[in-house]
Order: sequence, then structure tokens, then C-alpha cells
Amino acid sequence: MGRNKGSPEEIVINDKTYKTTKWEPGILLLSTQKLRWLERRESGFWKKVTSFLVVYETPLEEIRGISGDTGDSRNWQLAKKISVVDSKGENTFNLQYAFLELFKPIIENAIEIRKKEIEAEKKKERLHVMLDFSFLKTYMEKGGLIMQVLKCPHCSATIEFPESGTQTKCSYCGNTIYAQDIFEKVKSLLE
Amino acid sequence: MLEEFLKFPICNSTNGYEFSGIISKYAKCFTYMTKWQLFVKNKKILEFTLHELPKDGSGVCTITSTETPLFTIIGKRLLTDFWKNLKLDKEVNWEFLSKNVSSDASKAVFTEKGEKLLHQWEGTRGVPKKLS
Repeated sequence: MGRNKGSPEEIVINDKTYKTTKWEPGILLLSTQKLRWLERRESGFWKKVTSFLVVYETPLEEIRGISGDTGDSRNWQLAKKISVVDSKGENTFNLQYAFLELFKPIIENAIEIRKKEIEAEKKKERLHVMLDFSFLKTYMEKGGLIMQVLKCPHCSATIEFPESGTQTKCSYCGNTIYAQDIFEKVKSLLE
Repeated sequence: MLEEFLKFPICNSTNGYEFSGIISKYAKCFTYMTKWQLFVKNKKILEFTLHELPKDGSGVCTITSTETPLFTIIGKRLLTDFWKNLKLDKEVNWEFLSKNVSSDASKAVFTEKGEKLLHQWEGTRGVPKKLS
């Protein structure tokens, strides 16, 4: 019968200890959108060539928790054990210069910025869906403006103001003109 | 001596400090666990060394006068006046941290539209091993 020892990385079966985790070298890379693990690969016989391959990535907004070793001025450059939990499970790392007092606020700050960015994008998308040219016409009339033609923001050609729809195409250059973009411009004029 | 520690740098906690050490003197904040080594002469603290960063995350905040994060001076023996005049802008200095991203790492990644690389840590990742 097998039983677990104190360390979760070891298992004892019939009095023999087996390591259950192997440690692969690489780089944990944080970006404005994702956290990735780049595994270090070495190839070549006479001349070693090092390359990196993304073997794990998680969007920042899916990170559920961070825990790990704390440190002080005497040992902060030594590798520290860090655990990152995302929607798929737990990932453990041994990282240099990553003691919890530094690692956690860096990741949490990046997550916070990303969540705000996503919220802003969603808000913009919602406005795109809601805003159409008929709403825009009513909005402008309330502000004392009557618009019959539009100037294409791409080629400056004059086109007829659409009666409805969230977007229209410039008949000269073919670019799409969004009611949302016109609304932003008109809004700044009226304010 | 306690009068001098009513308000310590960085956390400005008034909850007090725990003092320890006979030869080397240390003070640890009760609230944020910031730990200092103190260099005392004639009952006056001449210098401080930041030994453990505060647990509230301010270790990555930028020092206004130097434009570097606070953790860059961990372990450095600095005059009391430096700590008295210390100002943190409470923002993470991403420009400073992103300088650490190596070209090898940036070459290996396909970034999404508008995505920027912020920081990297070298080390190892634990992968479950198959038992035969």
C-alpha cells in the first residue's frame, strides 16, 4: 500500500520513495494580458543552441490566487517556491527574485489593470451595439444641430447621413464609418 | 529610544514595533511586518537597512526621487535622513521592470494586439512525473 510523505512531491510505495514532480528550467513571463511559462530547450551537439517554447499560458483575469515563500534582504535573490492557481488548476515554480512580497503585488497589479481594460472594452462594445445613426440624429437635434451629410474620416469625401444602422460604408473609399465614432466627435463639439 | 520609532518610514504605522537583537538591532512593524536593521550610536539611529519588505505590496512602488522601485534598495545601509524624506508614488514602475525582459523571451512569444511584455523571472516549473 502506498502512502504520502510530508512533501507533496514524493510518494512512498512499498517503502520506496518516488519523486512525483520533475523541475523543468525556463522563464515565467508576465505581459499586460497573460502569464506564460517558456520552457528552455537545448539542441545541437557541438554547439548548444538554446530556444524557448511556450508550454503554459493563462489570461491574467483567470488567475484565482498566488501563494509562496517570503524572503528578506539576505536571500531574496535565491529561488523561491511560488504557486499560481488559475481556472484549470495549480502551477508551481521555483523562481529567482520572486519572493512573495514582490511577486504577488506585481501580478495582482497587472491583473487589476487587465480587468479594468476588459471592462472598458466591454463598455465600448455595448455602446457600439446600442448606438445607431437614428439615435445620433435625435441626439444632435436636441443639441440644435441638423446634419444631412457626413465627411468620411478616412478620405474626407461627403456622403449622405444614413437614416439608421450602426455603421455605413463610404461610397468613395469603401471604409466603414461607425455611428459610435461620429457620436464621440459630435459629443465633444456639444460639450 | 521608543520615541524615535513612533512613526517609521514606508508604512507610517503607529501600532508599534517589536525590537530584537543584541549585537545587531532589528525592529519589526506589527502591522505590515516591515523589518529594519538599525545602526545606533550614542542612542541615536544613524542609519537604517530595509531588511524585509512591507506585506502591503509597497515594495514595488516607485521611490519618487530615484524613479526606481523600493525593492532595489533592500539590504542597503542608508542614512536616517534618506528614510525620513522617502516618498513613494504608489505606482508599479512597469518601465523599470520591463527592462528585465530578455530578447530570447520576447522572440519566443507571439503577442496579442496591444499586448506588452512586463517582467520575467527565471527558474523551474514543477511538472508531474509519470510513475512507471
